[in-house]
Amino acid sequence: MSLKERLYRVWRALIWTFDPADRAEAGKAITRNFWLHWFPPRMTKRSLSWSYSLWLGTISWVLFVILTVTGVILMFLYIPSVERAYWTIKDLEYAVSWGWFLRNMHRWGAHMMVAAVFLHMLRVFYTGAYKNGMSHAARREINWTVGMILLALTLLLSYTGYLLPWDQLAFWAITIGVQIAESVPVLGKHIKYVMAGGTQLGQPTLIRFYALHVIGLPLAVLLLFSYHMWRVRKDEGLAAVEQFRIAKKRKDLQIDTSGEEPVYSTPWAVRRIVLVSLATLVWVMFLATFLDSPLEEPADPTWTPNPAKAPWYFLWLQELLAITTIRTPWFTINGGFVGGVVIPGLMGLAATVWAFLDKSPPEATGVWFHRSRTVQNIVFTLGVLFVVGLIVFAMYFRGPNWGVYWPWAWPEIPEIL
Amino acid sequence: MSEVKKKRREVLKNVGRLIGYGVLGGVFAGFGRSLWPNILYEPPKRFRLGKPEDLAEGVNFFPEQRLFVFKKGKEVWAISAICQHLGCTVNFVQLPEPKTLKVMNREIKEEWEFHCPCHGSLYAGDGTIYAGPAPRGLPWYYLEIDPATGMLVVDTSKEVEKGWKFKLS
Amino acid sequence: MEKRNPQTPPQKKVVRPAAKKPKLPDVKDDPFPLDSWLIYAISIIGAFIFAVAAYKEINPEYKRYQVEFKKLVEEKFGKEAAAKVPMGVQQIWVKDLNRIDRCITCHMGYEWRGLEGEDVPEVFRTHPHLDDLIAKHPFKKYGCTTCHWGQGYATNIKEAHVINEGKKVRWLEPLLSKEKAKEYGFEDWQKMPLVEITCNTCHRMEDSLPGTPYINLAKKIFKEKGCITCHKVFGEGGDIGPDLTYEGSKSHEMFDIHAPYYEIKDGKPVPSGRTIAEEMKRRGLPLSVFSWHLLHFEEPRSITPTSAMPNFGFNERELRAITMLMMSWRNVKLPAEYIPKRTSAPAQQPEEKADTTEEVEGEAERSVASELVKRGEELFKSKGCTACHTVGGGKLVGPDLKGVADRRSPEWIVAMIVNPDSMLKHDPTAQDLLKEYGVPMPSQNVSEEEAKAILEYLKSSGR
Repeated sequence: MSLKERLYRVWRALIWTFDPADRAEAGKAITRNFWLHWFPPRMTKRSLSWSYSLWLGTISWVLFVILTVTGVILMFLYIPSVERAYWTIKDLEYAVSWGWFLRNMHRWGAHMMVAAVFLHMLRVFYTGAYKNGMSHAARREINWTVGMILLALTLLLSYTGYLLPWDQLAFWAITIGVQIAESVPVLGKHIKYVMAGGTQLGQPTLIRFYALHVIGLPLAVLLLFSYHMWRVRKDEGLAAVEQFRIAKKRKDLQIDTSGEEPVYSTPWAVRRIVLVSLATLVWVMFLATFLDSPLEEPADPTWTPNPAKAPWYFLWLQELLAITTIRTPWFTINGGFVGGVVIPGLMGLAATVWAFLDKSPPEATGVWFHRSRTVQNIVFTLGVLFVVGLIVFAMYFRGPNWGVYWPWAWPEIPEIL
Repeated sequence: MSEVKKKRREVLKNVGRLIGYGVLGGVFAGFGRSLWPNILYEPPKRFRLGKPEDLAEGVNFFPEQRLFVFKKGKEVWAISAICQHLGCTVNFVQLPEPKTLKVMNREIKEEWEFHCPCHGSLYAGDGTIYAGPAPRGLPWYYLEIDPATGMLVVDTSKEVEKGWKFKLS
Repeated sequence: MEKRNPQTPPQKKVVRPAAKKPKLPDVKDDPFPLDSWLIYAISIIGAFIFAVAAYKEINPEYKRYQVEFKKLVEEKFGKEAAAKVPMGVQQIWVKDLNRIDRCITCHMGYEWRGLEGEDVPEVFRTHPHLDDLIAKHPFKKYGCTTCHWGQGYATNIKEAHVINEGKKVRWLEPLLSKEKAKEYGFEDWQKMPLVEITCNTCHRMEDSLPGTPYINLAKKIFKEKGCITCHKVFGEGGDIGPDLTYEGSKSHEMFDIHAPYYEIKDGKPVPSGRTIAEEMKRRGLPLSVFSWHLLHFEEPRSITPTSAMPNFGFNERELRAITMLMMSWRNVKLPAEYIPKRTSAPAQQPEEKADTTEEVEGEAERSVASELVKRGEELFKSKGCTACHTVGGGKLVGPDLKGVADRRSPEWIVAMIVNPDSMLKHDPTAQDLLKEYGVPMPSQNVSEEEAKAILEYLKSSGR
């Protein structure tokens, strides 16, 4: 065999699975390609439709990949030391070729990922996708729980990354975050001590957050994500397909079965994944090109910016803990504990166990806003609006000394000169 | 669909694909470029040695720049202290008495030698390699007087021929 | 799912009736015909965005300046010199002072001799003090921002000079430019007077320093007005007012410019109806700590109505000088080799020289008695009495001392000067005075002999 032939065979081995010639090849391709092996050979058209899943899970994953790639390069350029961290970020902004673009992409990717994972959770809730329908094998509550943990990990990843520039914004946002953790009764002090590596933020905190940010948390996300995907297979596909199963057994129900036709995973689902990945990448590139990341004065423990705000996804907690201190003639409970721990803890717990307690009928599985779930959809939406409302309020209407101001009427803080 | 239309579609798809790959490639090229530093946090290649009269007669060692600067009367010359084998700093060895060394049919009169502690490269007094693994001798560098300050300046990015000495006026 | 023996070939699986199975389409039938086109459309959009990003990357603001500078050098010094002009981000890194100054990326002519002329655009001009200031403070050892402030990291004008138009630049040290001095109403703004602030941040221990007229004036005022009567500096001084050791490092967040601004009517502060910020705006001053100090020195009670600090009646020049002195007292860390020599002997200052010669001439003619009066007057000024008292100038923080020798016994006056603390504890007259004036008289470490001299002075000027 000539070298040319050999090279051609290797090339074909790499690409034929993405371009199968017939049905048999399309089936075989799935088992012969490492990247495709966790897909079924065929999916229903509805599972792949834009309107059912909104592709938010895929978008979250693509964002994670973008963050990993930009993050690894940033690791080459960043120095996690209190003396030089800020300096290296300034270098990214002004002296490193494409440094500003890298940093912007990483930052926007992170914000987008928090948003995408959160929206993914909303989609799963509103479509009743944590329900098992009539499947005997599916245990979708597990994946809902895993998803909740992944949301928490995403927030933690964002939070740990927030500290790394070591500017005033980072320093004080993380100070508040650590303070929230401290308000947990009994354990709080220890949690803070371990998180910060001391009683106040400093080099030990920076290196801890850095280690968590670059390896600990991403590894956890990667493992849980793999499990998340594997479970989708074991749960017999997206919840959307339950509609077709139910339609066959319950002729009495008027169930829409459009989109049941099978679609070959390769090449058609793969192409759609490529499309979504590309669109996500281009969107992040767009944000990175036109919207610059903020960088404030270098971290200085001697003065606090007024107001000092937590990262936006934790702002609702900051708002809560600022207004929930309970004072009675007999005892006082710190709002840090009520608003920072009890309320969000209960909300997270409620959201997690919700999937196990949902009593709606099987036909409410895998369909948007099923009639039988109207009440719980409203309750859930109120919870979401509560969080979003508090975030918006704290972001735009809280000014110096945590006072309430119109966003355009903020009192000015003097310059030095 | 006619064959012509199909072909046109294929061509268009390939163009589109190329653009897609181009964007990805461009982004990665940009990321790769970021790893080539534009600015360095290192001692500069061209730096001041101080006033010529402040240099000691004989050998002067500048540890931060790893450089030997010799002064004999009105002559000043600079020899690198970086071993040309794998970059260790060579030791300056004062000989008990001047001697003549024969290297490759060339006679070198020397008062000192440079010995590398890492892999045993031995350099003669003028930096010529005479034993050990180093592939070449120690480089000599360009010296000048900075007209603005009157300071002696060395430029370690400019190598000069062995034996080139700066004459002080 | 039914259990399956892994050895069984999959072909033997239960075959369902074909009719119930949906008919499988051909692989080549595209179920989402729009997808390909979307991919290509998004690729093209991506290509455009990437092109914009690449353009931003390849054309930084400074590039224009570097090209222009190269042209200038070619005109002035020829092609060979122009070839030596470096391109790309340039910086001075001062490890010891933790300064990274990229100013020279645009200000490329900073140490090129021959670019001093007025015909050279100001950005490219040689530093005007290469031979004096820079000889003592070489660029490599001090960088640029140590003296001029500004954001050394930045490579565009707005962020490097910290110009807060539109988006706020998050940097605490703005460029101490001519424009800035003009904003604050300096008459001699063209001499870049604000730079004196940074001179004095290191040279604060010197009594006077050549080239810093404002700071020298302020130091003289600080001494003459006896500021340390009430304020502590490096542990020395009274504690009626705040410690001023690191006044310049006080966070800007701590200055409440939205508090009411007061006007003095009939010797009493009355709310003006404006906030301090509004007062600054009314006068065309920037909202800043510097402006706050200006207003405060002009009339302390207009900012803090209960302040015990007297209005010293500073003129415009003195106001700016003393404010600059306050701004210069910053908490900076200096490596040992950077610490300036601590001098107390006055440097060659023509004005001060004149003063001393006059003194020497005058002394010879005076009698012993008048010498005691003279000494008392000196002590009255140097011990900081003037901070609170005048002699015939009306009351400040403390009473006017004109004719005090007629009102009180000499013993009482001496005791009050030497040991005010115990007087305030035991003497009813002193206690009545405290009630009236509200501020206790601080002890100034005056010996009895010195107090007698002061008494003589008060006697002589009281009548």
